[in-house]
Amino acid sequence: MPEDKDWEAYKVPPTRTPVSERITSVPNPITFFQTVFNYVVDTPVTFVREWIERQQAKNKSYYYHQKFRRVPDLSECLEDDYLCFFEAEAQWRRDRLVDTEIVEIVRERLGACKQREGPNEFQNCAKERELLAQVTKAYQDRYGDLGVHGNARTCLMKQKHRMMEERKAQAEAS
Amino acid sequence: PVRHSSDHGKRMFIIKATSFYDTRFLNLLRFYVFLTGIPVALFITYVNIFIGEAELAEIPEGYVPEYWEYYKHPISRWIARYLLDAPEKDYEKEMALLYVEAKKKELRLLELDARRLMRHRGDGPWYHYETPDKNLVDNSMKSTPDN
Repeated sequence: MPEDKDWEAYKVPPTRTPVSERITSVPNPITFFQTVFNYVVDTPVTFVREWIERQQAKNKSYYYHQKFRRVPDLSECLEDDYLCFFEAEAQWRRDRLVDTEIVEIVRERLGACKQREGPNEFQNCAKERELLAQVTKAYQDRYGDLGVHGNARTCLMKQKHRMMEERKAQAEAS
Repeated sequence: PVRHSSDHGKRMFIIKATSFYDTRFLNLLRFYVFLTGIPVALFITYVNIFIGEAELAEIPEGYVPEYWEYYKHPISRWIARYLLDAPEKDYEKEMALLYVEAKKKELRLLELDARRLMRHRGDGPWYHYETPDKNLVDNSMKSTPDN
């Protein structure tokens, strides 16, 4: 899953623990455990990992995220133009995957916010909550009840029905 | 049945159900699984350590990546490069199939239309039936009216 590039959303506010003065002359036992861990576990593991990375650096290769060209939509296809239908369908499926990932990322941000704030989440996470509500509502409106056999055509029909309902509501309101 | 005494108890002949078939099955299973499993595991470990996965990078300006450069693991890249067709080629193959089927559908509809119209209007090359020659018809019984 592609990672969220926006690190600003996950920033933890700076801690406010006070600096304490040493009162006793007994050395901190944690430093002993830290040095033991360092020698027994940390150094061998980093040594092996760096050796592996040196071997891998000899055959370096890169991979990219594929960028697809935009093709005419299903609503711009002529009747009986099956090739146009096929391309529009493929584009719609890619767009649905992208939208699913967007919803997942927004949900992850809310989870990160909850983790950060702890007991203050009900007050401080309002923006993330609202963003998630909006995004899920939009997703539900567009791709919601299409079912497992939903394709670009059924989605277009759903949009048409939505627009008809909107127009009816407007006509009734005025 | 056990005689609980340390070192020198009575020697017992313990009667239990045979485990010969079970152990034979498990040994054979282990043998055949590891026969190809261990070389495959070693190969995959070698690939992961010495060749390593690809790193994610932005597509450089003016560069069009090959279709196998969209995968991370080196074995997936190798399979995409040497064993599979490019996804663009697959896409075009599917579209060619759809095009042929669409043309077939159009031609079939046209044929049905032509058949219907020619049968109805009778002015086309189809729906001509062999009728007997008019010179063979014997008009003698119709030539006198009061017969």
